[in-house]
Order: sequence, then structure tokens, then C-alpha cells
Amino acid sequence: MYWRIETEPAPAAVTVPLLEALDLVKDYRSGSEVRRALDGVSLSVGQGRFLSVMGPSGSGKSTLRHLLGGLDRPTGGEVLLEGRSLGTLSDRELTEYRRRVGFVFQSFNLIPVLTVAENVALPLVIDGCRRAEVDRRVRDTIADVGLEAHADALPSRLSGGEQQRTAIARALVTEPAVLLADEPTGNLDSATGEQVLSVLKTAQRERGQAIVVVTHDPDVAAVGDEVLHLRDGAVTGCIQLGPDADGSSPAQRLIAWLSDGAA
Amino acid sequence: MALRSLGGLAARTARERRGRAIITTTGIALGVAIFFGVADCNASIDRAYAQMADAMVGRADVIVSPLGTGITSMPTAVADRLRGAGGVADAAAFHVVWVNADRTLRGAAVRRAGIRPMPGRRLPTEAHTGVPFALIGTVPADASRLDASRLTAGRLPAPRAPEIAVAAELQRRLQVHVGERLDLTGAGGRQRVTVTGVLEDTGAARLTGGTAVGTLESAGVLSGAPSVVTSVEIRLRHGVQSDRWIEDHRALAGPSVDLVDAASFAAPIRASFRSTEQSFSGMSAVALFVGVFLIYLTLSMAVLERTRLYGMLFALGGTRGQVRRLVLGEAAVLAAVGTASGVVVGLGIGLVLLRVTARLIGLASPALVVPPAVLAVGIAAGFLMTLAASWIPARRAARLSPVEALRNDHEPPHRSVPSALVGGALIALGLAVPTPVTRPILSSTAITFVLFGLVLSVPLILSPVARLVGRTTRRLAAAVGEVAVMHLVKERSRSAFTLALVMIVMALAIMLGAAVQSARGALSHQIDAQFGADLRVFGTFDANRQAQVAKVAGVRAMTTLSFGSSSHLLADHPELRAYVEVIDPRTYFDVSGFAFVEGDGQRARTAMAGGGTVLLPGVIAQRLHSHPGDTIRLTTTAGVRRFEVGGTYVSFFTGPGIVVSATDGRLFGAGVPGQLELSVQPGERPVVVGQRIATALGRGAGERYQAASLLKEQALGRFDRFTAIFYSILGVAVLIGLLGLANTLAMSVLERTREIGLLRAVGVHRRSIGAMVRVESATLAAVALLLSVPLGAVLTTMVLRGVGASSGYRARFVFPWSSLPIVAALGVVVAVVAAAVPARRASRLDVIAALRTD
Repeated sequence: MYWRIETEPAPAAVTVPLLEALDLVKDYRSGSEVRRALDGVSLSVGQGRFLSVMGPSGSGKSTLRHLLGGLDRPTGGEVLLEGRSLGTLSDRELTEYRRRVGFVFQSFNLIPVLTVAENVALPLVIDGCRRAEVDRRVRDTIADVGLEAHADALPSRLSGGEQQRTAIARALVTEPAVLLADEPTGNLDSATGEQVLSVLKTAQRERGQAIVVVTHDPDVAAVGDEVLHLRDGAVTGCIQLGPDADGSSPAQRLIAWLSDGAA
Repeated sequence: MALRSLGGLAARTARERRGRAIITTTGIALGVAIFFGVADCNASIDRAYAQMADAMVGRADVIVSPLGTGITSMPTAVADRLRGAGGVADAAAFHVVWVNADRTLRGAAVRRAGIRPMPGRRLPTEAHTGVPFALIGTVPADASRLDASRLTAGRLPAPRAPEIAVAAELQRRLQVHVGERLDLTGAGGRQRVTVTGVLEDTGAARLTGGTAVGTLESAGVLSGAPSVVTSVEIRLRHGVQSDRWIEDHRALAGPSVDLVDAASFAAPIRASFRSTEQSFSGMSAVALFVGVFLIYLTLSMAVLERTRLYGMLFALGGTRGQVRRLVLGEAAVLAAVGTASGVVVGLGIGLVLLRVTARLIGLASPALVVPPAVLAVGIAAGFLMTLAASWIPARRAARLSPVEALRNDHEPPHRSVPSALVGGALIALGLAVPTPVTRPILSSTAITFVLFGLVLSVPLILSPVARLVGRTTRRLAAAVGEVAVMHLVKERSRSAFTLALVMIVMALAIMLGAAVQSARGALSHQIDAQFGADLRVFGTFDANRQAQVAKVAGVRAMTTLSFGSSSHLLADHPELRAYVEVIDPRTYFDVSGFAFVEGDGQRARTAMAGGGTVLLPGVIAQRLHSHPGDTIRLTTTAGVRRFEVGGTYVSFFTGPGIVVSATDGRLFGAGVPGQLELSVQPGERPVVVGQRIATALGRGAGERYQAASLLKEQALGRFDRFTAIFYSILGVAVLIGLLGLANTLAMSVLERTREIGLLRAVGVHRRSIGAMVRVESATLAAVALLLSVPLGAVLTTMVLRGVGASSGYRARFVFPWSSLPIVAALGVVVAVVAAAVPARRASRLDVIAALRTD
């Protein structure tokens, strides 16, 4: 089941936004110079929805990801998670916020001295969950991503795809409000990348997981229900994906949309 | 699944980098080993002195002795009066007399007897000689109730019988057995005695090379003075306080008698070791400080290397406190391993140090003890030094920005100017801290301030100095040498603290060299000034014997010395202990002198001629802030009297001896002189003149002869052996510095893996890559050497100031220019050895793998 990428749009889901960004602005100061990385970006993601954010290098994708994930604070605008604004949070509360967000990184960022199961358990250990609860949730999540056979293996023994699935499991084990993935297939070959995207779509469908993927790759972005395009820190366009009347795939429609200069 | 807490993650990350973990635990272990080993050695010597004191005084509460020369006597009536005084439970009288035993010695006993071979000849295997020793005459039954000595063979002498029991060490020197007879010669006569028993080596026997216990009657015959005693030991009734009893019965004892609390009897001996003890402790604390530095460096590297891990933990919802505890947890794991190793190694160091030190101070085979308090301090030192070193890296990790940490952007902006301002303030504070005589610990505190201040200031001065030095060192490797120097200049925080570590170690080497040179020079000066007499003779010299000696051919000039001791000599400072040295100012300065701090021999001779003037030892003068012309109140046999200070002299070698004129000698109970100092006629050999004196005096009462050259040789030899211990401790600090530098270079290679790959890709040879690392190492070492010179000079001044404050000894500062080449060579060795493995690793990096590195 991990080899086929679902292309039909997800079933109708609750449309109350879990994650919202309202007119986000982010400036970086270097000496006397100020560089605006984001200029009034707005978006929203509801439960069970898959949003892709794409754009070329320097478009502000990474900055947006940092702000959505609570790793950084915006200069202007606000980010709301489950209706609560990040701007009002203290450092400690921001830390708690990050426990409601699941991160998947391009370079996996697994801890090499921990096994697959221990890497997956790490967010629960940080959160102070009871041992029995940790064991149960880790076991279930590892099974969801198909890594039962590798539970006691160190990351160095795993392939790239297996490592990324471990990272996804680590992000899912806390049952986050939203999962943020940064170029999840960037270090993988195409076949392995499809496996990983399949895992994400399964999580969306079976868990109702809200997902935001940041990517520069149209084939990856097309897996989402909606694609937001950024350029020079601003949203240049947005497209809802689904099968077209002429039967073209979401990836084809996205590429056509990009080629038309709509973005 | 094993991970139950972040503590488990800390243990695993500690194990992950084995090399760095080994370096860190080695630094902890070395610091703890030196600190604990020295503390243990000091505690063991303290315990040995305490046991010796207990053995010397046994069960006595009060020791009664004559005010005056070393072995003078008091009438037995004194003993009788005090025996019958209120509060006395028991008393024993002693009459100590130096005697010679005629023996034929064989084998090792020849060497133990101090016999030296003739030039060009080997030590004979058999020698017929007189073996001197102290005979303690007493009523054996009385003494056995009060004294702690135990028989290991035979029995004690019978009352009034010509019998002796010998201590084990003396038995070995005399090669005598129970039942054998000995012919003894004393100042007043001869006696044949029978050896009846062997005693355990305790108390005074350990210091004097062996004693024997006989009867009062034998002592009287051998000394020619049958109705006197030299000391009385008194045991008080239960509940009677010693100090109170002493005050109440001083008058009963009489003006020529000294009463001392037995508990403080050995205080002068223990005090003589105190400054050495403090010096050892000071050096070990510095080694600990250097160890702290090393741990700080390695843990800082670990935090840098794991920046992305911490960023990831923040992303997963980890708090700053959890990240801080993760770093501290790893440090705790390393501390546990390092401390355990350090304690084990420290026991070995303590044992070696104890053996060496005991031999130097004449303490016979003390046992190494491990008091629980010392062990606890050693363990606490290991954990505390690690906690202190890891606090800043832990805080730094906790304060990382999650975004920058995930990007692995880990060079924190180093604010050099504020650090340097704090550093400058600390240096100024350290230099300004006074070193009052009563608080020499402030000297160590001042040195610590200066070291910390310099560490904080180094980042500011590193860049300009490295640029300057780099102009030379970069030529060691064409093209890439420039790259190496540039990295050193730009990576300030890491380079700065490594530089500080190496700089401190080099400065310590300079300081030690300068301090040793200065102290040795002044010691030599004092010995030359005060012990310049050609020959010294120890014994008992009444007027007749003095006249006999003066007439011996080859004697040009002669002067007499007497010694005494008192616990209440300084009337206004009963806490200070001093002894009295009685000289004849009319003749003393013709033969000998003093290493004057204030005053001179001519003025002292004139001022002391009529009495009423004293010379103060430097250590007392500093404590009392006394100068020539001041007055001082001293306790005499005629009550408290005022004396004028005629001069002060260096007392490093001789201790707190207040010098009085023979005119005033009787006021201090001075009796028959116990020492002669002689100058010989030009062309005469002191040894030959000594032999003539021995012939003239007959097989006398154990006179001992000492040529001036031998004294200086022995004193300087002892000094050199002590300084060897300090150099050994410094060696440990050098090793720690080397580990720190190696660790920094290894980290530098790791961080620049991609850059190295790029250099190789554009055609730089492997050997040039290795040379680049060596240039960085050489530049660091060269900058450290340059900065260590002024630091070493400052530290030397402070150390000499501290030594002067605690011992009254002012050594002239002499910069060790001759040590600089040695320290520079040391720097080269450290740089080369530290760079060896990192350079090799850098040159062997695979180009493609290096370019792929994140």
C-alpha cells in the first residue's frame, strides 16, 4: 500500500482552519541593512488537508516554514494554531506549541545513537509521557509506516527512504495538529520519494492529518490538495488540485499552471 | 526500547565521540589525581606528625623542660616539686644525653653511620667507629606508664642498672642484639651497658635516627651530672585543664623552666612543613584549574558539534532547560568516569609523593592514609571542576536559536570588548590584592583573578598578535599557511580559549623556573651569609672545652651559639612560636653573619655588645611589622622585658629564631653553648682541623662535625629535590595543555572537512594539508609563548610576594632568561605532538566524502 500514490482529493474534511497565517511579514537585519524575507503571506490549513508551498530558491519557503513551526517569530502579521496566536506566547509556551507541530526535515535529522524506536519515542520522552503510553504509541506508529522489522536498528543501517519514514513516524507519534515537511524527498531518489509521499497521503487519509509540505519540486507539490506559490517573499498564486475534466493528473495541471505564468 | 529519559541520551552522546570523551575524562582524571594525590600526601604526613607527636609525648599532658639550650638540664628538685603538685596524676623524669658507642660496623651499617669514602676510594665494608645517639635516662617503670614506646623484644632496663633498650632503627645502625654489651662514652664519663630489649621506632626515634632508653643513673654517669634531668612529663588528673594548670604552676616550676601543653609540643615540627604543604596544594590547585580549562574546551567543542541536534530537540518541543540538562548530563557521565579514574591514579601519586617527601623531611616510612574527608574532597573536586567547566557550554546550548541551530550556524558572535573589560578589571583586582602575612591564601586568590582576567582578555588580543606571529609561521607551509593563520584569526572564541590554556601552562613553567631560580639564589645567599663558617661543631662546650678547641692548630677564629625555646617568648603574641639563638656579638661576626633584610653586621655587633638588643627573623618581623629601632617585649626569666630591634634577617632556612646577645643569655636561661662555629687558617682543610679538635677533646660526648660546604650541598640538594616535585606537577599541567591543543586542532579539522576537500580538489597536496594544521598549531603555540612571558613575570612576582608573606623571606626577582629557550622548546614539542594526529587525519581525508560533508 505504500507504493501507490493517491491522486484523488481527500474526502471532504472539516474546514475549520487548524493552522492560519495572516499577512505574515519577516525582516532580517544585517548591520544597517534590512532584508524582507516574507511580505504579507497568508494561508490556512484545515484538518485532513494537504497544502504544498512551492517556489524557487530565495522565495521565502524556509522562512515561512520556520514561522509556521514556531521556530521563529514574525516581524508582522500572525500565526494561529488551533485559534491561538503565536505572537502572544512566551518562550515556554512556544516550546509547548512546537509539541503540537510535527517536523519532517529534508536531511531526516535522526539521532544516530538512537534506534528507530527510540528516535520515534523521543518527542514523547521530551513530553514526559508514561512508559506504557510511549511504548504503545511508538509500536503503533512504527507499524503505520511499515518499519516494524527495523525497530531496533540504528539509522546508519537504514536506507534513505527508511530513515525518512522513521522521521515521519517521529513527527506523527505525538498526533500533532499539523505536520510540517521540508523537502521530504529532497535527498531521495524518485522511487523512494514516492514511497515517502505515499506515507504522508496515508496519514492524511487515515488519521485526518493536516499536512504542509514545502518544496521546489512540482511533482512533490502536486501530491497536495492545494498549492501555494511564493516568489520573492510574496504569494504569487494558489491552485486547488483535483482531477480535471480532461483526465490530466494534478502534476500535469500544476506544471501547466506554472508554465502559463500564473504563478 | 531503552530510551526512558533524556539522561539516557546524554550517556549515549557521551559515548558517541570516544576520542573526545577520552580526552575529557583524561583531563578530569589528571586534575583529580594531582589534587587528590597531593591532599592525600599532606593528610598522611599530617597524620604521621600527629602520631609522632602522640608517641613523643605519650600519655603526658604537660612537658617540662629547661628554658635555654637544646640539651640543658634542671635540678631533679624541679621534678620532685612538680610531681607533688596538685592535679598531677603521674610524672616521669628524663635525662637525655648524647653518647658514642664504639662499634665495628659492617656492610650497610657503614653507610648508615655517615662514613664517607676517601677521594678515589670505595666505601669500606667494615669500619671501627663511634656511633652517636641520644640516650634517654629515666626510671623505666615511670616512663612505661607515660610513654607510648613498646617493646618488640626483650625487656626494659632494670632500675638503677647499667642497661639499655634500643629503638629498632638504632639497633640496625649499631648492629647489636639483645644480651650484647656496649661501651658508651659521654661528656662526663664512660660506662659499659647491656642491651636488654628492642623498642618500636616511634616518636623522637624517627627523627634522631634512633634512641635508647636507659636509667637516670647511667645518664648521670655518662653526662657527669648525676642530679639533673632534662625534661619531665606530667599526666594530670582527669578534668584538669593543661593550660590552666600550666598558668597556676609556673611560679612553682621556677623562672628557668618552660611548661608546654603536650598537645602543642610537636607544633613547631608540623609548622615547618606547613609552607611546603601549602605550596604543594597551590600547585595542585593550578593543575586542577588547567584541567577545568581542558574540560571547558572539549565540552564547548561537543556543543558546537551537536548544534543541529539541539536545534532538532527544540523543534520537537524540548525546553531550554532540557537541553541544558542534556549537556550537563553528558558532563556528569564524564565526571563520574574521570573522577573514579583520577582517585585511583591519585592514590598512586599520593604514595610516590609521600615516599619522596618523607625522605626529604626526615620522616621514617609514614603510611598512606585516606581519610574519608580527603576522599570526599577529591571526588567533589572532580564533579565540581566538571560542573564549573560545563556550565557555560550548557548555557550556550540552551540559548541557541532553534532556526540557527537547525542550520548548524553555531559560531556565536563573540563580544570581545566587554569580556576584555571584565578581564582587565579582574587582572587589576588580582594585582591589587594585598597578601597579608596572616592570609597567604589571598595570594592564590590573586593569582586566580589574574589568570581568569587574562583568559577573558585573550580574544581581544588574539587577532593582532596572531597576525603578527603568523607573518613568520605561515611560511612553514607555502600558500596554505596563510589559510591556517586566517582561520586562527577568525575563529576567535575557540582559538582564544585554547590559546589561553597553552599560555597559562607556559607561564606556569616560566613562573616555576623564575621562582626556583630566585628562591635558590636567595637560599644560597642566606647560607653563605649565615653559615659561612668553615666548620661547625655540635656538642656541649663549657669554658674548658672552648679553651681546648681554641688552642687547636688551624683554628683562626671561634664563636659560640646557644639555643633555647619557649612557647611564651613573645609576650604580646603568645600564638607565635619562636626560639632563642644566643650569640656572642664580639666574635660572631668575625666568623659568621646573617642575611640581613634590614640592618647590617657592623651595626648589629655594636648594638648587641651591651645587651638589650635583638635581631628578629624576617617571618616574625613581617607579622609584627617590626623594623630596626622598634621595641619588642619578650618573656625572660626575670619577667617581661623590652628589647630594641637591631635588625631583621632572612629566616627561610632557619625558622623563627630571635637572636640575642650572650650578655642577655641568662635572661633566657641560656646555659652551656651547644655549638661552635669556626673559621680555619688559610691553607688549612676544615675536615683536618675537625679531626684535630676531636683528638683534642677525646672520644667525646658525641660531637658532630659539619663542614660549611657540606651544609650548603645538603641544603641545596634538598631544595632541588623539593622543586623536582613541583616540576612533576607542572608536567601534568603540560600534558593537560597538550590534550587541549590536540582537541582544538581535531575539531578544527572536523569543521573544515568540506574546505579541506575543496583544497584537495583544486590541487593542494596531502602533505600541504597536514602542514596547514601544523602551521595553525605552531602559530597558536608561538602566540602563547609570546603572551606567556609577561604573564609568567607577573605570576612570579605574585608567588614571591606570597612566599615572602608566609615565610618572611624576600627573594629577589630574577627573570629566567635561560628558561625561555626551554619553554620555547616545550612549546614546539607541544605544538608538534598535538598536531600529529589531526594533521594526519586531515591529509588522509577522502576528497569526495569531504566535499559531501554538511
